[in-house]
Amino acid sequence: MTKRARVLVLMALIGLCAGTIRNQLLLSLVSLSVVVWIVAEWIRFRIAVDWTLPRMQFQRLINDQSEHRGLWSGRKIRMEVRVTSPKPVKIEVRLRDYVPEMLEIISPDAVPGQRPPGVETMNDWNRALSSPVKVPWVSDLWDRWTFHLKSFFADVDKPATRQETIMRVGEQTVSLTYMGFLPSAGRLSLPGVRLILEDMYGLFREHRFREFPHSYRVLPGYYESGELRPTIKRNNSLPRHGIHRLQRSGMGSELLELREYVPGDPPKSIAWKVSARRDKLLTRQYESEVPVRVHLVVDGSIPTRIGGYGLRLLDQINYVAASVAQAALAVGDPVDCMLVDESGVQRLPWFNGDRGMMELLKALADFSVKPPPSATAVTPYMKQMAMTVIHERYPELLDVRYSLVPFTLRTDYRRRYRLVGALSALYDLSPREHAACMLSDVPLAEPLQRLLFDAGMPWMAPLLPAPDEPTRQSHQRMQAIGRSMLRSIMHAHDNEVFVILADLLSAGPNLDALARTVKLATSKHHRVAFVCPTTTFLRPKAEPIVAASESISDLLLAAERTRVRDCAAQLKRDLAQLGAAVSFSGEQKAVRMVLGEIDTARSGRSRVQGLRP
Amino acid sequence: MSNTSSPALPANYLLIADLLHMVTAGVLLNLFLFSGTEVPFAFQLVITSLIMVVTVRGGGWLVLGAMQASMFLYEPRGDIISVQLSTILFGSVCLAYVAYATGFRTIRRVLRNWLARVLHLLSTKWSSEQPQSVLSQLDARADSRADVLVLRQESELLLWRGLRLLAIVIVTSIVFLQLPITRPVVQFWWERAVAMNLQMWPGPNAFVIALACLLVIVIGSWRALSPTQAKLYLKSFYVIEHFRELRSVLVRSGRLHDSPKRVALPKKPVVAIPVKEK
Repeated sequence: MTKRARVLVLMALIGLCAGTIRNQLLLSLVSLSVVVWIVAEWIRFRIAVDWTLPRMQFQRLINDQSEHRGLWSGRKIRMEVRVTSPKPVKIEVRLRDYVPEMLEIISPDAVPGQRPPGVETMNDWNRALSSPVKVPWVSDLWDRWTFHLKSFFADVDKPATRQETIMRVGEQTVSLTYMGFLPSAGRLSLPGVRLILEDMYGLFREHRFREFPHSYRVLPGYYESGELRPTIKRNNSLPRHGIHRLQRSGMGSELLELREYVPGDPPKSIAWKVSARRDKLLTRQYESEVPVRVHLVVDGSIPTRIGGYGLRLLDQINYVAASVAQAALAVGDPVDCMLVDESGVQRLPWFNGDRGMMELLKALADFSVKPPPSATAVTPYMKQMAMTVIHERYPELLDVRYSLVPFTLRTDYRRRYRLVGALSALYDLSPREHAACMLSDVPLAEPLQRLLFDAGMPWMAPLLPAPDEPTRQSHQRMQAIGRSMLRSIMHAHDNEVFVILADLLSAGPNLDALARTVKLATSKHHRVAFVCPTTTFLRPKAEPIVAASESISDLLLAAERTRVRDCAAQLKRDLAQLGAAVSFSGEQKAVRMVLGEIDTARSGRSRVQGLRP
Repeated sequence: MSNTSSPALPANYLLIADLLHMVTAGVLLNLFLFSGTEVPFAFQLVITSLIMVVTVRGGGWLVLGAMQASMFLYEPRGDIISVQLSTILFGSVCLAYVAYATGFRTIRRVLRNWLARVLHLLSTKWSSEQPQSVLSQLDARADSRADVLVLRQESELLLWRGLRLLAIVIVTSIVFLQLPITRPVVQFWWERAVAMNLQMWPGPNAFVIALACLLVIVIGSWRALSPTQAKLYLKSFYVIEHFRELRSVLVRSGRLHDSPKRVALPKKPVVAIPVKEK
């Protein structure tokens, strides 16, 4: 029953009493009629709900297809939900597709991934809508009243959002269509549709969630360089696919040079004609023919996973890794991948061809999805988001008829009681855990975070308590990357390429563990390239950084850019001394840098434009 | 969409229909509130406009309040003996107006479309009498045929709603006259009770009917409970505080229901104990 119905019933009862006492027939009759009418509408509404809901059929289409093996990040998708009822509906049904954070809703003509200027993260969006006065109770009051005002002035006849539609009385089918954009790789889970059933007078309303879950793997997008140089025949013989000429002596088919005969050389390699001309024995030296194998080391530690989807460092890493792998596999170079995070190192098998590319992308997509480490603290923002999720995803759990709150004037207590009640029902908490969640934030943190993760929310701060020794953690991280690289070197032959995609900027001065491994790799004639994404999405530049304005967000951005610039300069010096190439920020320039390194390895040179060693 | 595809109506028709029905609603409200009174016209206009503005956004509570206030102030007092046809009709119109104001958002759309379609049909009919090309005549005829079909549906919908409200008022007036809340009915009940040896007919029956209605409502609301809601309810402080035994019984039965059934263990074969022969 809505507020509207309650007010009407109350007024009608008052009118009935007054009319009966004063013996006024019309007043009594009209008032009683209103009560009877509301009761009749309630019965009608209940029957309509019980009849309509189970018979509604839902179908989801993505890009006009019902079956999908995988979606791609960085691309626009057209979502469609078709709802059909066997008979015209008797009540108004408002449908809202539950869209996780992973999917950004965009207008059909929007450019994917483009945000308004100055808005970098989701927190900025929230900040932009928050109250001008930063006092908690004023902000609360502001939020509440702006919400009421917005809903009062909103055109209720139109759907409020793009992923919403209204099935009006008498309609049988309705289609909900909107455009979405996937900013990052991972898994897109679409659990179902939120339904708001309302009678035509707005007297009764029922909130329901209709489950029809769909889950899609979102593969990382990649940059297609389009330069397949090794397939062009430049010499007499063309090695087979995936085998490249290496200008070092070996057992290939291309002649590298002639040298004097040394006892022990095979007689068939003696160049008899030249030997006769020069009057001394000369031996033909052939070029070596080797595959240029690419080793990807992907860092998926906690610092790379923090932030909204599309804004994480891991998203940049995935993009570069997928682009490099695509370019290598397109020319037949095998690629292997080491996935490193706090839980250990996962070594993937060698990938070859298109099938291998798909397998690698799937592995990267699955690696992007990981539950956050268990939190020990709860922030007001987390609680707010959890309430929003419950309101959207489990609306029946906030029904005041069943979620009975003891009488209190404290709104925060009531809110917490409802939140804990819903979590308790969802995750089967025992009465003891239920009580503990009510009394303390520490036990509440875990189920709250689980709810947010299940709802497809990105990791939120605070993930972990501030470590006592932050440098120790980064040292351990670098050691893990170094160990994984060492394992790759052990399996490598010669002239291979190691691409380390990691957050080195937060590692600071803890590169020693990694430096030893890099030295070892370069000494074995391997190429090593580092790709280090930045939190600002901008390449660090040498010139001084000036904030665009004196607003807090711009000042913070300028400070972060300055920090990144200083760290990057130091890191670049250190890595250059080790003979490794480095690129900051994970975009096309980084991909080109790595491809350049692969080309160098392919040519057998030690430098990009250098001479033969 | 419904099975019959409704042709799009021109915007000017919709605007005219909207204006027309709003003006009608305003005039009707004015008549309800101020007919037979000597309130200045300007005041009437202000009050009516105010109520209409609130109606557009806030529902029908102000309309009901205004009507009740008007009746409270201007309706003559007297013993209620019977309900005339005019009273039923007036009551129906009042209820219809309250329903219109309450569901203004939806009903406005239906009424507007209905009126616009009527206007469109009328204009099409008028224009078809004018000389014009064969193709445009065919188009107009096809349009008008679809219009008529939709119009019939919408008219039926409105008619059914009106009839439902009329039936409610008739049932209410019958019930109202039977309830012992008016002086003549109370007197009648007492007389009947005295005549039947002080048995309050139909007191027990009314009680049973009321109880049955209450039961239907309670069962209806419990049937709407989902399993998760049931879990939540069982964990709520109200049940824990007041229905501890009931809760424990339900939780235990739920556990038993959820737990896998125990497979009956095969009976051990009975082995005869060998009797030692002496």
